[in-house]
Amino acid sequence: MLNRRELLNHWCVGFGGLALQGLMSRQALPAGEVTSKHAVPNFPAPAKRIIFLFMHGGPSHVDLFDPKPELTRRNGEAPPFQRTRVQFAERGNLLASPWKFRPTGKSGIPMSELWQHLPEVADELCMLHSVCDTNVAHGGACMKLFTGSDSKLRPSMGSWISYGLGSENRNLPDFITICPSSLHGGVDNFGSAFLPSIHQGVPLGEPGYPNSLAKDAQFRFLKSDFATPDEQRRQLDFLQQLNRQHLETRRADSEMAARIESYEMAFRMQTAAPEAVDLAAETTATKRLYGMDEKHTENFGQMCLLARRFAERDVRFIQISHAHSLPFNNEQWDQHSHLKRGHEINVSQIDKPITGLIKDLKQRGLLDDTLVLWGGEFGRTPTAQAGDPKIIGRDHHAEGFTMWMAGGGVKGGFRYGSTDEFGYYAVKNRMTIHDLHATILHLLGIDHQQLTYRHAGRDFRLTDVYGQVANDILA
Amino acid sequence: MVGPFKTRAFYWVLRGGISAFVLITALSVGLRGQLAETQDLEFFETKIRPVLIEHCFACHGADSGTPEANLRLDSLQGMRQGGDNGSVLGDRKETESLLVSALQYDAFEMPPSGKLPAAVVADFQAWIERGTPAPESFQLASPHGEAPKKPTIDWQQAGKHWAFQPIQKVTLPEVADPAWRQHPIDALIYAKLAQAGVQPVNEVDRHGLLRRVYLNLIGLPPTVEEIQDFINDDSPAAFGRVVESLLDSPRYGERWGRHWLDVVRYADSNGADENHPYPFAWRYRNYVIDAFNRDMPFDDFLVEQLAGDLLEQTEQESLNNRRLIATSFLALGIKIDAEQDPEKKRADIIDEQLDTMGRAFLGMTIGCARCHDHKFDPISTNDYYGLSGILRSTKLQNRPLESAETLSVAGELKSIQMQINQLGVRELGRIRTAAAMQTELYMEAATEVRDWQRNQAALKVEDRLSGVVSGDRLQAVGAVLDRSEFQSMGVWLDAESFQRGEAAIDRENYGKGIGIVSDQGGGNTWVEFDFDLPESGIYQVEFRYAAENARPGKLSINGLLVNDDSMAKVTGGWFPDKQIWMVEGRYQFQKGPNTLRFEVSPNMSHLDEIIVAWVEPAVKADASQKVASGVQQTPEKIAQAFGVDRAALLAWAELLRSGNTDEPPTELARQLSESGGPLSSVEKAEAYFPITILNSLKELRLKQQALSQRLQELNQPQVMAVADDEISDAVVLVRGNHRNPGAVVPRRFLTIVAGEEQASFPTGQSGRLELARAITDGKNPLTARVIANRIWRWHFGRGLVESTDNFGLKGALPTHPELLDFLAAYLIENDWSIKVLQRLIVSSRVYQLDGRPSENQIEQDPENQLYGRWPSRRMEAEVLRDSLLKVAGKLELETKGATVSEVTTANPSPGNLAENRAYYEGANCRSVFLPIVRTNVFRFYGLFDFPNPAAPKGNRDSTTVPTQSLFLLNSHWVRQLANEWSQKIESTATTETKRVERLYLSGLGRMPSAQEVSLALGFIRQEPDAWPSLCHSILMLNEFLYIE
Repeated sequence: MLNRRELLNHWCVGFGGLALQGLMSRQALPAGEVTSKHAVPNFPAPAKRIIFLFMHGGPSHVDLFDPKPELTRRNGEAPPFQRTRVQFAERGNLLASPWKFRPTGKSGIPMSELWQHLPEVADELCMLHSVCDTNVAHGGACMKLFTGSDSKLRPSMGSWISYGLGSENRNLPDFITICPSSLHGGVDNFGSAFLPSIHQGVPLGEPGYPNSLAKDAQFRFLKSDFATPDEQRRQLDFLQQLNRQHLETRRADSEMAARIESYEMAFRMQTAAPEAVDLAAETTATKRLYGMDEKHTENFGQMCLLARRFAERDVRFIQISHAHSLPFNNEQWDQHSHLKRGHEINVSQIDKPITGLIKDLKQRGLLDDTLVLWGGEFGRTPTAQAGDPKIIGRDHHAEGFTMWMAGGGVKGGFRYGSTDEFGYYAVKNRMTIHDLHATILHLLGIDHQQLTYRHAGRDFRLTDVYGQVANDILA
Repeated sequence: MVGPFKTRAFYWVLRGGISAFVLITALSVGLRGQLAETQDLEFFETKIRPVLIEHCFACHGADSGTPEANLRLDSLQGMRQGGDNGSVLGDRKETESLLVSALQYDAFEMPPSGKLPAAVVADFQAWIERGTPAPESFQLASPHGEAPKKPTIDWQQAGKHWAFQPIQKVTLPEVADPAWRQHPIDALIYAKLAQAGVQPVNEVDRHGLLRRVYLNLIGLPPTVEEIQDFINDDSPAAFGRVVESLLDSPRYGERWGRHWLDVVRYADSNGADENHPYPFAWRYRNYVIDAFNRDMPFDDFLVEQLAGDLLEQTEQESLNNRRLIATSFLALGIKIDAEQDPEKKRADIIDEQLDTMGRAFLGMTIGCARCHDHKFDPISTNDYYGLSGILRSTKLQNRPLESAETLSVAGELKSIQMQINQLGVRELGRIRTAAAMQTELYMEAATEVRDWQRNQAALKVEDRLSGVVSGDRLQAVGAVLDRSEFQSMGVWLDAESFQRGEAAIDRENYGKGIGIVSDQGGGNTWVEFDFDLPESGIYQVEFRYAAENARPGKLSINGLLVNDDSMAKVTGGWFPDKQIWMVEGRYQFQKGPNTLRFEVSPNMSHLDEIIVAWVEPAVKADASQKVASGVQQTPEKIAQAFGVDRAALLAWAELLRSGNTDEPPTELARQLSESGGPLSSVEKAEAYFPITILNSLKELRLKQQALSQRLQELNQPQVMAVADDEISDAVVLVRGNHRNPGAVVPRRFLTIVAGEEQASFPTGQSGRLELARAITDGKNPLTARVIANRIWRWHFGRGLVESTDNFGLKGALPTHPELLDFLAAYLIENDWSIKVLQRLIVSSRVYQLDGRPSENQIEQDPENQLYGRWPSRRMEAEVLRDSLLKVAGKLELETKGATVSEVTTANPSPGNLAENRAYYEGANCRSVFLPIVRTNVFRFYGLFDFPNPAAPKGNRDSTTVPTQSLFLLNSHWVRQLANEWSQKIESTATTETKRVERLYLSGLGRMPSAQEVSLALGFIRQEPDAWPSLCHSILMLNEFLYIE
């Protein structure tokens, strides 16, 4: 019978994946706190993994997916409703969208004319029009979106999922974030806080501002620059022989045994991880599908293709960040000014790659068990931001905005929730960030109330004491 | 039954005096209401009440004890009054009704058992739209509802928890084995081992012991020489001497201070949303290291951290400073700087402080009681807000440090101010005396002066200008004339029109609307102006400028320096509203082209315009620069003619000009010095002071200005600290929501420790000092137990209470309660000396056992719960880094002041992240001195379980993941250190066997076996880059990585 510490170490040797089903109930935890409830999935789940396409800065729902004729009709008028108590910047009057909308797909989901490719997969998308109740500054809103709290350091959603589901691939991390931002929470947005550190997201590409480019992205320390694989193998053989001798008289020390195994695991990973990020085997047709043959879509297309490769290899949580390639706004989607120019560039960079990703996942049979999530940390105000009318933009907006999901057990061609006639407040089926998290966990087979971790005297959850699954969107 | 509409109509009829229309309308509504009423009540009884009874009453009814959220739904009154979140009925509109919103699972999710069918929700909405009709029986809350709230905490029961019991006096158990009864710790440990039938192993060999105690006490492996010294010293006191030298070493505080920094979530930036540096945090880090090195009594250490600023100020500025620095503890936490809601920000910061203080000092998770009474521990919401009031009365504030220079400059400044005051007062006294002596004579003379002044005011432009030159002191033409009036009197220049120069033009900020010239931010600043004059002669030079501080420069005319204290006055500010005309002096100019040059270094006042005015062509070129001769100088002449004091005469003239001259002279003389009179204050009278006094005053004021500037510099903030704020008790934030204030709770300490009846906190101070005293009071059993347990944890890798930061009901139970109490009591008895406690621990046999388990132990106690052997464990990140550097000979022990300014914090790009990495990998100081940037922690730290500095962590994790192995295998940094080490080895040992021995001794602290030597030699013979590769391998061995 393995003791607690042996169990811990036995299962720690994977890149991530502490919590294989059933094992965690035996307290494979760092010393200290007593039990944590966990051992999931709680029920059979449609989705096995999630790809989160994060739009840093706050895309404007009323210019992309949530048409508001009333804004056009009353363009320039003062808003006839009470504005939110806490605001970010000085705000102006109602501002019509510069773009026309049209219904797309069989389902007729409205999209603005900015989208040229996404309509092809409209019937796969499940629009969430009523996301709300987050922080009004980037930092707070990013932290809320990624960790559920805009004021405390909490484990990120990917690390909760890694902790909850464990790994299906022992040679890759459970949670990979591709070219993440170092801003607005930075590494804490994919960190594990008080969860064991093996659940933290592993960045492919250095976190940065501006973000690093996909073509340069690498896992760190995966290759020796001073020893050939053969030399390194011989060095390891020597090292391990000494280690094993040392262990002989310390047989109760499973941690030392685990460390010996971890060197072998590391050696194997040096082959597995480069293979996962090597695009040489992808056909030209596939690369074109993701827009990798065109300059403006090359970077994001490559990230999307990498995401598919990780999905194929059963990585649990894959994040892509669309952030920081604009010269005139700090964050990619943060169009306080230059709404028109900024959103045109932004959509053009992601439209084809995302459409390609969804088509590719579908044709490979991966879309059914991969949940794709698209969205930013908040939306943008239906009102203009006070300032130069020539380069007009919109402010941060936290009280009603749009995200969307695809695949992974959600209804395709479906619209959930709504904002009021101006796109200001979410009014129908309001979906708070906690509700969003509860729904994501549900789609992965996890009851958000059951996924807990005992820390500092109480059981913590991703959803704190809130969260309601949006049952209406389940396929 | 009387419906509401009917009642109202009836009332109106009785009142009378209303229009028939209103009456009819009201009555008709009343009739309709009567008809509808029956339907309404039927609706309520069939659609509403049954649902309320079935789904709501259990938690929100009369029999629910304290109703959930203090909300009663069993009467209209209860609904209207609402609960923690206000009325649930709203104003007939769906959007404002919390009841409907909750049923829709929007604002809340009620009932929690599941969302009710849409039709039911629609019924409630309709009911509210109808105006919530309900029978009388549902109008008022039943009296049960008035019952007092039942407390959720059973204090008596909770008090029985082990951690709240007083620290027990421990009777040492009888131990038969002589090796185990010498030392109290051994006796207490052995008793449990014997009870469980576990035989402890033997003591570790001396090589192993030395390496262990070095790594444990100072975080560095012993050198070859230190090993040899110890091995060669076979006296029984040898180990004790080593322990003493390690405890005395400055390295000790660098190791043990770091443990405390884990507990207080130390970092050099705010982290979270945006990452801003904490530039002064390092002082606290060094304070902690110093406190451990000096073995500051632990109770004092805590008091200083909570309330160092409130302790009595001493003569010793270094002590005062140290105590101020200690309060950084409260300020160091993670903060959301960009939070747009200031109330939320304040509440979040206080919560962070309370949570940290509770876990770090008391092992109590106080933060859990922010929204409701603690679910497990006896900490009530009132306790939380009682403590919260103390911190709400405290503000975060970066503060200056005291220094000898600060004190001397402040003293000097005070004395200069006194001199200025004395000089003014003395001169005023002299003038008053003079003015009061010959009142009639003064009146007569003053009348002449006044008349002359009146004539002056009536003069034309030219005549007014003669006033400019006639005055006792120079007057600016620019202040008297418009530019249009000035015309051909000379030249009037815009400062921006300079022909040559190195200066900046500002039309936006300091020059908004006017345009000014100033410096470019430093260096030498100069401007030159060329202009023509129609005649040669003496001209008055005037500058219009603004200056908050004096910035004197040099004025040259046609290449000659004429004034080296030019543009030197202070006008009261830098902005256009403080622009003032000033006369610089009168100088000789030539006919035709002239050049005026102004030069200053480094900063220049904000110059707007320049005038060169031909005020007195008659003045001779050789005349004194500042005195215009040949003009009236009337007041002077009058004073001479009457033989009176000039200053007193001018004061008299002022009185006559503005006052009533009909009063008798004695009365007028009295008015001179009365409130508002020209001699009523030094300030007013200064206008009449003779030039000699004015010069002295000017000199003193320049000194004063320089001193206060220096004092301002000295008073720049240098320490991250706190100060008392407005003192107030805190308001409970219901459910933790800062938008939902409840009752006021007096400031106080935890009820479970200090009881219900506590002395009230001072109204003039935040109460931090009282709180600190309560925490360190001998009657509080938590503090001593918590720190004694931490010290044990840091020696043995596991606490006697495994959950070091949580001694509550959900924390672990002590494995050795008597030992814990023995250590806690020992600490208190020895004046809270950490080092005394450590001497005791390290000298025990338990501390000196071998780490290898016996067969019996593998069976009986595989996890070593009973300490029958040394609990081996991996080095912490810092110890590993320092050991690698030390072995490679790279560690620099003298670098201690590393600050966060050396790395990038906010918005790091891949580029400056690479720079940070280069900084960290290039730094050779001890790890404790590396800046900790939250959200961008040094990668090496992150890999090896450096705790996230967001919250206290007394119990570091020790994970084993392949990324650590990858780092050790492939990082250039590790390989480079291996290279350096191998060079050292190769240079100090001659034969290959000796090299291998040296390698083992310096790396692992012991000699290799013959088999190990032959393995190593076999390895180097087969490898190309043999020695570096061998050294690299040794650094990756478990034996190197573990404190055994």
